[in-house]
Amino acid sequence: MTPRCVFGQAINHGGQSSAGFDAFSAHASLGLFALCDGANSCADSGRAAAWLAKAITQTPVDDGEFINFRTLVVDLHQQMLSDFPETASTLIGLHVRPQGLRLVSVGDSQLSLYKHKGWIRGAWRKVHTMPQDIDAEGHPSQLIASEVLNTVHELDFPAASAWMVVMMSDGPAKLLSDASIEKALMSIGQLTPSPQDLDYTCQSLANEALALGCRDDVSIALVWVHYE
Amino acid sequence: MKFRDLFGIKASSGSVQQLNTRELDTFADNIVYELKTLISRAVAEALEEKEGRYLRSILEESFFTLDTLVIKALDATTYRELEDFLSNHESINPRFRTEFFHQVVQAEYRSSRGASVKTSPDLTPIYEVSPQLLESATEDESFILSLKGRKVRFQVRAVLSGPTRKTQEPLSATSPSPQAQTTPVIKNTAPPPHLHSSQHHLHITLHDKHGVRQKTVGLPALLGREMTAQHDDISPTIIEVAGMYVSRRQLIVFESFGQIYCFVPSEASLTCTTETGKVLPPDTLLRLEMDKTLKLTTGVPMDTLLAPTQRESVSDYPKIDIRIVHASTPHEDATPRPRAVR
Repeated sequence: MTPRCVFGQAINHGGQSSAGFDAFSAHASLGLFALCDGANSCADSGRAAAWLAKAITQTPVDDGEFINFRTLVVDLHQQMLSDFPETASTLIGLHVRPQGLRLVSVGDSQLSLYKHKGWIRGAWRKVHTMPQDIDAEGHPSQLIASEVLNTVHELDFPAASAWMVVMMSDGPAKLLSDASIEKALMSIGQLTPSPQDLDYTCQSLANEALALGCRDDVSIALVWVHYE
Repeated sequence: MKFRDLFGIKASSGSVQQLNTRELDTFADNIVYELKTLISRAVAEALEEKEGRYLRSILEESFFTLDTLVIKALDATTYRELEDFLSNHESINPRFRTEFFHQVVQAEYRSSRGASVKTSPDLTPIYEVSPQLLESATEDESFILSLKGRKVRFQVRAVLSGPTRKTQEPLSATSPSPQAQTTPVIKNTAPPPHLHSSQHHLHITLHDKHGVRQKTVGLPALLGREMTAQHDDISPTIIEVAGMYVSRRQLIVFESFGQIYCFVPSEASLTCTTETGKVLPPDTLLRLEMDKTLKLTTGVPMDTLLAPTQRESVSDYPKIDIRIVHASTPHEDATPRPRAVR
């Protein structure tokens, strides 16, 4: 099966109050997508997040093979410890291959996978959310380039007719309900979206998070994957 | 003496009075008609260029905004005539230019595909002329004739932004009324009233079928299974709890006189237990304490109020942790750098 990807984004949405600590990178032809949220408490984390997102999506890929996120992230973590000291970043990402999807998550950003509901035309339902590393205080318990990186969460899903991958930094993820996201995705329905359709959906959700009082960086990316 | 006076016919008979259109009115009417037509065409062209990139379902739930309108006079005479007309009236009414242009711009434009364009209330069209045209033009340059032989005097270019979801309308008014010029644009990005009214938010950690999720929400809040979001301002914040033994309206949390309370409504078929094993009876208020996390586990039948012994699976029996956070806590959403425990 041949996957086809369309993606949209609203990164560091909202302007004025946003410090721009989030970064998104995509290499659609390689099927690589990454959203990174730099730790706001460290001044250089925005730059580190941008570097990390780009490094993930520019990784050389063997034909037909999934990327090994576990080893890749550990390697990049080591490099960032020397190149970007006193920074930290989350990572959520995916690799789209003919055999399916591989999802990855580190930190408190949220990556959820949605699939068409068979019994309601055009509706999407959430089938999985990747683990978020959150401590009792609500802060990330591990981050790339920080002192703590224990586990790289990685999970594969088989090829299916259509997937929608919803990637969010922790700010909007805390405020947006599943119902809001499902309602926004319902506008896409079972049709093939354009990048502009997905940009619009991301911006609408980001506006909703801001209206709910989000003061963190607001970043949302959508990746629509269709197997033909 | 006029010709009709020779036959003794009076120029006006009784109540009928003939009023001739003044030359200036004719000029204004023609300009308004031409500009309205050209602006509609320019907006339609800009819309056609944009709308093709979007699904019809998105076009129907959103709108584009007319951000910029450039009206260009195509010859020096037209530019001078209109500029003189505007300047003369401005000496009497300083707002005349704005009011004139608002007259030629519609509040909303629509396409057959379902797309709509709303005019920003603070839009003032840019009226310009090419500097070369102010020089003495040749005969060929002076007249650009349409197919009907009518002189085309203006060129209009429209720039649209968006689309924006209709419920997130950033405009304070859809009509470009003169009053709108002095009214500041109120963007609908403020928290809904139920967040404004409370000094507190809830930090909720859900352990359910979808894993561990954290949310910071406003009050009042309604937690339950298969919840559908309400989008009016007075509705509670909806938090969906995914699990086998969860009621649709499982828990209601609200604030009264600075205190936060929660209760399980009697219509729920299941209730919850606290961390100490206490069962929450229906319609009974439980006060949430500051700096303490209320830990609830779902799945207690309301008819017996006896908790099942085995409730380890969060997919079946979700756990809900609720903590009060002050709405103005600084850096509540900031991401700190994790440190190794030494």
